[in-house]
Amino acid sequence: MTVLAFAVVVWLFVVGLYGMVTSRNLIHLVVCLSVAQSATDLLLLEIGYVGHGHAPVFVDLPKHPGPTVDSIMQALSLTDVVLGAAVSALLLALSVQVHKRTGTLDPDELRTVEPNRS
Amino acid sequence: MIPAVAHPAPGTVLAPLAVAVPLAAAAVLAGANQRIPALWRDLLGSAAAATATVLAGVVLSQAAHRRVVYWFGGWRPVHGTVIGVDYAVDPMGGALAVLAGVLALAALVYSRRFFGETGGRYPALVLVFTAASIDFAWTGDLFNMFVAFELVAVTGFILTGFYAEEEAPLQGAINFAVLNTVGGLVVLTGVALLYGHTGTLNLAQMGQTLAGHRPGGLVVVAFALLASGFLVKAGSVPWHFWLPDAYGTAPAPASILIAGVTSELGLFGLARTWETVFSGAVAGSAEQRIRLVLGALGVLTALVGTAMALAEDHPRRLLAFVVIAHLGVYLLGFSLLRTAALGGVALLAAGDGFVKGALFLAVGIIRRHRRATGARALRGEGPAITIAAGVIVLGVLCLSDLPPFSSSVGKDLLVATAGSAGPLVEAVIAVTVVGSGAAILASAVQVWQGHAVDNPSPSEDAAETAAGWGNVTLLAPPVVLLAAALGLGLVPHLADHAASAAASFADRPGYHAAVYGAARRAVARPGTGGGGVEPLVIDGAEAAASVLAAAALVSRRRIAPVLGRGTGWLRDLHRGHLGDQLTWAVLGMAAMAAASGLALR
Repeated sequence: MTVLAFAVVVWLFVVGLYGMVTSRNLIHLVVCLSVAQSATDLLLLEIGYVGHGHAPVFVDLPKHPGPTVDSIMQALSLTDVVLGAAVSALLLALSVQVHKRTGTLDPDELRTVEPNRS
Repeated sequence: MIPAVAHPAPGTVLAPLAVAVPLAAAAVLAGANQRIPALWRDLLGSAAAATATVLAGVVLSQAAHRRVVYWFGGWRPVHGTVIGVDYAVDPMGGALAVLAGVLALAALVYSRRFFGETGGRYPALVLVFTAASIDFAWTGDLFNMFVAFELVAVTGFILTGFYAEEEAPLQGAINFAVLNTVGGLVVLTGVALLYGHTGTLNLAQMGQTLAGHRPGGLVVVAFALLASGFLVKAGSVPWHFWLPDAYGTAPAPASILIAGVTSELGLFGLARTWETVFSGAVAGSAEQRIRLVLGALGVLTALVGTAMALAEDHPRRLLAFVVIAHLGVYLLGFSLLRTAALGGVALLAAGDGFVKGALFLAVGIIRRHRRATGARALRGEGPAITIAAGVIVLGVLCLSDLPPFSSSVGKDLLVATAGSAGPLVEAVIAVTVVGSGAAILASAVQVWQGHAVDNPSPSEDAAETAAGWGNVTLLAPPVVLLAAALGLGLVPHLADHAASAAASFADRPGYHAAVYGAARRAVARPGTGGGGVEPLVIDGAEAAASVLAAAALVSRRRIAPVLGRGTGWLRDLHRGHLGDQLTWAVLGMAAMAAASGLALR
């Protein structure tokens, strides 16, 4: 089970990166970035996971609640989700600006940073 | 073990305030943006940045005697286990916070005239950037470091993209954002692996758990991930591609934050995690090998940056490559893993940080003036332009590590303590300084004469020119930053202070003892070895060589095309193609993992 989870983490990260490297559309690129980001979320949850552990909510517990999963890792992945949302939102906003200014979303066509050489 | 107490030690409460004040001011500014008149908005922003700088300075002076440790909510370690989050400020982190505060203040004052009424939420973003930088430098918690790292990156790319000076298609901001986010993901993966291995996020406890054991595969991978993630931000080859693109887009006040703070933070993150977490687990022979890996990376970065600076003719991209070249020198200095050399690197970085800030601001003034007037030549265009040009020339001399500027003290300390690597370090610094100095000077002369390639056409929205005397808020920041670099160099016994700050930074048992509230250990202060006449001669020769090389570059137009052809393949790599940049970043990370595996196991 653990091996499978780690394999999924690696797979998501590699797939996301591959999508970003080959992307021809900024929206597609942002989605690929989110895919790669979800790999880290899954890794965090997997590291904090305890077999048969219950959620780290400490009210209304039964008498012998048994172990809970690691709440620190859940807090970290929550923070990561928030950061990911901020980054995605900003990148999408930049993409809108790019489309307004140039009429294209293809990152390969954005070359005017390089000045015209005389 | 000391039981948990709710009250922090007197004096340490100032540390969180230095982060809280700019954050609170940023919240007010962002929330009430429309209702506050522009003047008050700028005053509040500058006052908050100044307060943070002063607080950071007070904390720095406390940390010079003893590490300032603050536990949030009073959650101190109990029976050797850390649950809370702490700030552990040593002189190095304190100094970095002061540098960030001063540069943010300069950016805010400068932007008053630079942006005019269009500034909008700009001051709020600069304040968040400052708070996150200070948080990064002070925190004793690895995850907190990651959050601060991301916050610096996110505010950095908003500042780059949303206040873009021209109708460029924002490519710089997008490349900056994507590469730094991938770097952040890699750092987070490293953090997660380390937590899984050690069961803690506290740097001190992590270092204690790893110390004395041969690093396993997981720890090696975690080191490679953290190192390459932090080096993405620092802008080391092959993760540096986003830097010139970002500088090509960013407005001048944002550039000085990226150039003077972000690069240093990346290197600081690497040094902090190495010294407090990994160094205890690495034996002598493995340390020798990791020295080679990091040193080779530093030399490569310095050479690529210098070559590209010489081949580049867009003024701001050129400065970006100069920043990269200097970062290579710092990385080389850090790779020696000697405490006094680290002190030298810190002085170099602080001095250069001020000077690079002054250079970017001066270039911004000239660019703004040319945007307003479309003037082809700048000769005789008014006192402001003359002052800006003077700042650029003086700045180049500072970057040449000429005394009495602080970078010269740092360089002498670095070379004197490099031991057998001294000649190599000296040679790399000489190549970097002469090459980048010549590139900046030649570019400045071309702009002065009106031959630069990026002659902008006059635009209607930039109606007022920056040529007159009425631009105190534009002119003061670069001049003051230059004066700060000079003033820092005149502090007596500066090299000794830097060496003892570095010794305390690299003192892993001392860090651990301070965080756990144990008695203070005495740190042996390393001797620095005074600089004699010889360094002065070498510095002078380097400055003269950059002037001569610049003259050659300008007077003999034939050199430029030859240089262009010779570096054509290198320039093709820097075309701003996002897919290529990501591929290089991933290859670099794989190489880093392989090299760390070979070196540390």
